[in-house]
Amino acid sequence: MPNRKFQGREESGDDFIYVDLLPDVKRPRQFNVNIILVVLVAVFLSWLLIYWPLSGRQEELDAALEQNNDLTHQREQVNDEIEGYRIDPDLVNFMEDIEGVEALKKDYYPPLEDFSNAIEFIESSGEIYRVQYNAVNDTYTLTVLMAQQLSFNNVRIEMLEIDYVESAEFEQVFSPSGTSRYQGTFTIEVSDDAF
Amino acid sequence: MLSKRASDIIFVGIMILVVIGIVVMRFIVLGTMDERIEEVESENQQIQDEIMGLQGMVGEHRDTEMPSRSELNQRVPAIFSEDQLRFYVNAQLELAGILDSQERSVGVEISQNPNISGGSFGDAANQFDIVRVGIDIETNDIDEVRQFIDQMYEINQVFVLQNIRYDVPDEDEYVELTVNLLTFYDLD
Repeated sequence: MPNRKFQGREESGDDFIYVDLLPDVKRPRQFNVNIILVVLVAVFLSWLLIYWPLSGRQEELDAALEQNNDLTHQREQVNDEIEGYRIDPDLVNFMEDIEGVEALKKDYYPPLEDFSNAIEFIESSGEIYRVQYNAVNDTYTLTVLMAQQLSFNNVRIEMLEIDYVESAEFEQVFSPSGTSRYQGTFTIEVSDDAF
Repeated sequence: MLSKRASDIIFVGIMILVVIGIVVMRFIVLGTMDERIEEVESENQQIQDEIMGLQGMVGEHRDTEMPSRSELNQRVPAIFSEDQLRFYVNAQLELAGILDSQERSVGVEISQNPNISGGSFGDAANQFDIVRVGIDIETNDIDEVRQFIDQMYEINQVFVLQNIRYDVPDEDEYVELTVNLLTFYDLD
């Protein structure tokens, strides 16, 4: 059906009617080259940012999985060997745990003798008054009596000369009432070599 | 029909969305892959360590006769009885000559699962149930306490010294001495 008409008059004075007889159909949209561009960019970026690094990682994963298989197989073989020798891993672990706690047995006294010698070396009248030893953190807390206040620092230096002493500090140096001597408390950390 | 300007804006917008989408996807895909690789490698390391441990175990124990579970339980008992432990400690105190006199005060206190953390003692606390035996002694001879500790180290059941505290005695002066020993149980 014609849908566009135009009526007019020519310069000569004749009337005319213009009728558009072409059917009213929608024309197909113009092909958009931008779509191609978007697709090309998407493909290129996917290759560059995803596929390329992914293929490298895939090789890495394959190698790790292959190693995993080999190790699992090797573990099975070792387990067979253990079974063959009739070794009970639980019992072995239990025994090793016991040996671990037995290694915690320490004789606190020999280092104490060294500390006593260090005190007497600085001041022959110096003596240990109170002893505390804590095996959990390998620390001695010694209350010491000395005739001179200055001797405490010298004892500290002397104690630090001992190989296994990791740190030695003193505090609370004071002269108890009724005595001419000074009392101070040493905190001495030792290493495992001390025992 | 859209104007050329609007069409260009839509094109650039779509392009940006596509780029963002691909970048996001990259992080998701590669992140997942990296996680998986890390997981497998960590598992491999774990298996490797396990194999080395097992091989060490074979090398060390293939020619040795293992003690039985009951023999090991003499060192670390599987059953805890406070009365039995108290009796055991008192017997050792008596053997060391500390509990022989009625005049001396000796106290034994037993406490289960004392709070111990850090270092080798912390490791032991993770492996076993720990019982603390606290002993208060009046003594004028520190050597007898040392001998008692040595004696406790020698007996079958494992005892270790946790701490000791005393004033050094003058001559025949009696002083208070506190010694805490730890013993271990496999109660699981």
